Amino acid sequence: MIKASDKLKSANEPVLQFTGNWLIDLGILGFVNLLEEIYNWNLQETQKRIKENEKVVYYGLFPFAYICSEIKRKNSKIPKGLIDDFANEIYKKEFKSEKEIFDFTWENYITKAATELWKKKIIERAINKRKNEKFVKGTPKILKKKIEKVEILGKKIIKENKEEIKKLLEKSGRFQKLEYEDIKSIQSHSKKEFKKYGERFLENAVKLKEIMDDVDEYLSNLWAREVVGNNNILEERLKFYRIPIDNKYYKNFLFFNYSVNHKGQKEKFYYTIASEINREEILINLDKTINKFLESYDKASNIYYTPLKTEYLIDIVPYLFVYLLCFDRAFEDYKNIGHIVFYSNDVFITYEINKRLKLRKSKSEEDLNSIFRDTWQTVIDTIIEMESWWVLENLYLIKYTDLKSDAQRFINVEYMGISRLQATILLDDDIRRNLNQRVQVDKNEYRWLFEEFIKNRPLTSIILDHLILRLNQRTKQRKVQPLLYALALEAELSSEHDFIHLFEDPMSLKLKLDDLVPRIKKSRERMDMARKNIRRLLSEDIRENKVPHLFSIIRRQNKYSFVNSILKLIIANPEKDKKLIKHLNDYIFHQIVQNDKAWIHYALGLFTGFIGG
Amino acid sequence: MEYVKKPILMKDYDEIKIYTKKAFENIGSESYRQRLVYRLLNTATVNNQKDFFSSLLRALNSRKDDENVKRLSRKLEWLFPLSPANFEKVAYSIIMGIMAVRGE
Repeated sequence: MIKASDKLKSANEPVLQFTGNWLIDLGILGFVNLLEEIYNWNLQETQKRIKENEKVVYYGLFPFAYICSEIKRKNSKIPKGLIDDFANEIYKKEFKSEKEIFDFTWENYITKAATELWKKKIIERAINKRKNEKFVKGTPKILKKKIEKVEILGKKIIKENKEEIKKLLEKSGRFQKLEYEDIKSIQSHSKKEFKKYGERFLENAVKLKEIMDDVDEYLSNLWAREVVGNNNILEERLKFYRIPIDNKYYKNFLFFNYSVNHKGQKEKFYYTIASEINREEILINLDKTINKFLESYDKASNIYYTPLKTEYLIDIVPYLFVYLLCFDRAFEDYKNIGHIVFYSNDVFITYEINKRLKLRKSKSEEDLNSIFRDTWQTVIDTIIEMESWWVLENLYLIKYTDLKSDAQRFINVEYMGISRLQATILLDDDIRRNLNQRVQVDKNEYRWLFEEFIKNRPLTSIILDHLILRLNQRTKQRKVQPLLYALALEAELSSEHDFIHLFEDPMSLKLKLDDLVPRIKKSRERMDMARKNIRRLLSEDIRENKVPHLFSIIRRQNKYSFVNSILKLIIANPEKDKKLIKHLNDYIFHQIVQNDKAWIHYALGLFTGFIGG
Repeated sequence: MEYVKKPILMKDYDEIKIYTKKAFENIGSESYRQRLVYRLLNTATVNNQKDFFSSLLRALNSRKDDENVKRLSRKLEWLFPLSPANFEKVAYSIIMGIMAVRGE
């Protein structure tokens, strides 16, 4: 069962290593993130703990952390100190088998952690649902009676104290029934506050509060008595005691399935960790239930001929399903960008990069631009610090927008690999900083230059769209340097030094690449100089007048028309600084007239001198 | 007119510009050259080779014994006749050569 990691142990290697399959690897990352979220362990600590006692981690600490994390996702609280207690306690015990570790964890700690969430869901359902859906099978009669009391009193309050209750709950409009949230809100207010609304309201509200406290206490006691520490829950209560967790990714997967009772949840969770594919059919194939990137059998019928069997995988990757369950925890959600993870083939670097990004994100939550700036800054800084610049060439940015809740499919997943050429360019601070910008291209549309570059999309068309907005004064963006860097980059890549040969001699490619960054910078400098000189040469009025004409010539890609118009403007200003005119003359002659491939980039570079910024 | 396809290199355009600049250093005043550049720019826009060269050669004719003028004339003679695409590049090399005179 623990073959692979046993082998590694003897070689004194880290126990958690990436496999090369990004789905599994991100699962491993998610697993590490999960343990960090709950126990505050970093990757090194997790590695150490697994080495010391693998079974305790996977059969005890993991399931507890997983359920706690799901409970937290539902905005419910874990009793204070429970996590620390558990993490201490489990190491004191001695276990004979994995099953014993799991049972101990489930019965004594997972159940304790789930108390509040379970209570909340039971009461919420009883109050909010319609008559025949209020109670699941096995609900104690006492509870039904207590809920009935709550409802009667709720109706009475609505009848007698409608206005007062509306004020207390800050509600307006029609108000006919107290919902669960309303009752919880009343329960959280003090008697003093009730008094403000008169004696009659006070009496009713206090009564409601008392009954609710009573329901709470009753359920807490019931759960503590019949579920916590009990491995033999009454058969008829099993459905009633189902732990109310579900997961967007694994909506109907084993223990998340709504039809599965408490005992079933416990069993199925254990089988998942232990990869017992003979017990649970769902674990046999790595199909769409587990891997959301796969099609369903209906849509891709050839899967029937080549089902992706997990039996081979679990020999290579022990605890495969533990990692797959944690897949979604590898991603970090960025507002307006989506869920992102940076993936490289090294667990340490991937962990480090994503961790730092998370820290940055929490600091710059509100400012979208700074997230953009920081993202790649962090990635590159980490890579340089860890002296692993080679990783950049093996780095993938994986991004998805969301998961359709009905079909459980990803919406818009993108993988961005970075080529050696791109990596070389991005390692330069100036170029990276300037490309790491969002450029507005339409009313509510922005393009991230960096992303477009990595995706091998043309940047010039983005700059043209952006310039249209600027000319029409429909954007507040004023920066010019990112535009010049993008133009210089494309000019150099499209000029005679081509990088399109796939099988080029590595040595000659290296020479070319070494030369590339200085050349891009030189081009950018030239453009900037031309931009500044044309601004110095021509008055603001002339520049403003000429802007539409020049821009339309560039868009029509009419090189000589552009040159002609610019030369006429220059010749009309003979009394200006001669050095400046000489520079412009050289720029236009060498970069535009003589440059058939990339003249438009240089023309646009010069054109930026005509616009504000 | 039939064009003989000549391989015109970057070097050739550079030479045309340099020879033009040197030739025009001794031709006319600054305002004369300015007027000439305007005229040449206007003929270049409409791709009018005949008018372009007639204006240019008239200007060069005033110093036909100048060594630089001779070099430019020989270069143009070698290039002529030009295809419309080549003409534009040659024309702007000449114009920018004239403009470079006052840029010194």
